[in-house]
Amino acid sequence: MLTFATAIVRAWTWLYTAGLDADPRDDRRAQIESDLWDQKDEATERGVAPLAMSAHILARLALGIPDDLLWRGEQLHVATAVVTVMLGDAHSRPVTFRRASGFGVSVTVHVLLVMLAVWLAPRVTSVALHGNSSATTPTILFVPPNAVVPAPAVEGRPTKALDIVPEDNLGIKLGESASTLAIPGFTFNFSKVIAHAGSLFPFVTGTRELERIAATALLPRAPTELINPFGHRGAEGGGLPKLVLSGAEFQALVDRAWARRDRWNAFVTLVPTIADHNPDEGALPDLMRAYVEQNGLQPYVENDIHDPRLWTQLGVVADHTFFIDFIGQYIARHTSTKTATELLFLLDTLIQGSYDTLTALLDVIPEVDLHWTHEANPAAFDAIMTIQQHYRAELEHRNLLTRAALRLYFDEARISVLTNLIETTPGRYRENDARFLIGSIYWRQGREAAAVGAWSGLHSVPSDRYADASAAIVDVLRARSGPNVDSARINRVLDGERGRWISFSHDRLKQFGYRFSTF
Amino acid sequence: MLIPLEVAICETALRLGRRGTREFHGYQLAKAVAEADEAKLLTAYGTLYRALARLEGMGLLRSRREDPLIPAREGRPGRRLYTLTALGETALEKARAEAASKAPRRARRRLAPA
Repeated sequence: MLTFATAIVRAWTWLYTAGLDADPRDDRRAQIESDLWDQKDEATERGVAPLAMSAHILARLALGIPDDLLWRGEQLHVATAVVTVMLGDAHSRPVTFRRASGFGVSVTVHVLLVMLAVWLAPRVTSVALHGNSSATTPTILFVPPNAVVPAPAVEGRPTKALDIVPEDNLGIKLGESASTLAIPGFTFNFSKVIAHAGSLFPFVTGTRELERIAATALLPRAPTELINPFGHRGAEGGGLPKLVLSGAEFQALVDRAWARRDRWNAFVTLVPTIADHNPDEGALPDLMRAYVEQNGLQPYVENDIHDPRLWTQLGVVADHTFFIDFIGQYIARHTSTKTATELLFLLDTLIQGSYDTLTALLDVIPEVDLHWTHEANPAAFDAIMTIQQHYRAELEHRNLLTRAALRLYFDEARISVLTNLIETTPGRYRENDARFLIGSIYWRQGREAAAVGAWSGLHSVPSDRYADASAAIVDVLRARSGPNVDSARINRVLDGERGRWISFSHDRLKQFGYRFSTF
Repeated sequence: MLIPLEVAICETALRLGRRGTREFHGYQLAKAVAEADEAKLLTAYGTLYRALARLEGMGLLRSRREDPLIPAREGRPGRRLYTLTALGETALEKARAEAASKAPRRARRRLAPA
């Protein structure tokens, strides 16, 4: 099929360049030949299926045919003009004739190729660029156990996280008065972003706590009765009282910990409650779950200008090292507990937010998109430029040069966390939800077999967050008669889950006086 | 006035240049444009090479055939290598300014979690 596709491209190129002067003709043919070679070479290296590659090649050919014809016309126009000037009008007729006959043949071939490409493209284009994900597996941020550093001694409550995160401002110096950005409808103190400019994306640059969290997966798994004689929980959590709250008190705590911008400062209001109560029994696990589900991932949409959303998101990720340190220290003390499991779900949401903010930072064209920042505070504009250049260099250093590679890297980080969760959660607590998320990641990547593998372990637990979606997925898997699953139904289930998140988020933001596009 | 694909090509050329890749070939450019747009399909052959020819004709890009010894040594077809000219950079700046003045409040409206 691949040979056929490349042969079609070569034949078409030969056809529409036939009769042209040698220079443009040979040059165009050489460029197409080189492009085909590079595309095939890279596809082979990345393990892209030949059928997918063929469809991609044919689609590129078909969609470009109008431009091929126009380009030929332009070349003939030039040639005709030259011939007319040099030899007189009579000599230009054969050129015009070739143009007309070539056009007729071209239209016929065009129609045939469009039909073929349209037939093939939906079947395979989703993998054409990205290839098999296994071919570009990135180096994951988690490290093997022998590289894990010992846990730092933690005295008292784990609010020490605030104290141990060093400043890393990438050499950006700002006066106190220069750290406020005021543009229409948005005032933002960006000193926190600058102070932690070098650690805004810890899932890329790595931290000691992330390594330590990864190592917890290797500890003995807790038995189902929630007593772990091998872990830390007996010593650290067993003596702590259960958290007891009324429904109103519970929701008031969750609401007090909500924030649109300063997530960490709001979360800190929960820290004494978390530190002083039993991690398995009582309301603490539910409290942490409610925090993640109600206050965790929030939608951000640009309204009229780019600046506020980017700055707000940078402010949110500037807190990530605080959260990671807290999660790492808590899990080290309360391994294999329900609250530790909830904190791993929190870590999963941080990774998702980190990816989105990083891509927003990379995509922004400061000169065009940050017009308001430039006008209001040139130092802030320069800081964004420095931060953007720094992370571009970091990604290049890690060979994360393409968006697909970056996405894969963050996906693998999420899968690591969720796998860690499954390995450490006590009594299979919320294991289903982790399996659902892992399968969803694989499904989005186009790795159907891996997704089905992850979902095949799902079982019905009504209290799970994704219970309904998981039940629907299980139904789809049971209904299949052969190796293929009903993709449309799976997509509907996943779209529905995203829709529920958007709908809930809308109401939650409204509760605090916000919209998707206000920060 | 540049059309969107031409702006995208100049943007990509500038971005590649900032990363140290001042010269680029057609496929390399198509890939970088697709990645920037998160597109699944690369720019069509005809569309891409016609646009490159047009930009070269306007003096915004210049090109050369690579040294034939290199492809011969690597066992692949020869490439035409393009560079963004100073005129190209200026045209890009103008296009950006024009876009900013015409649509300073342009929004991507992408809903994303953080």
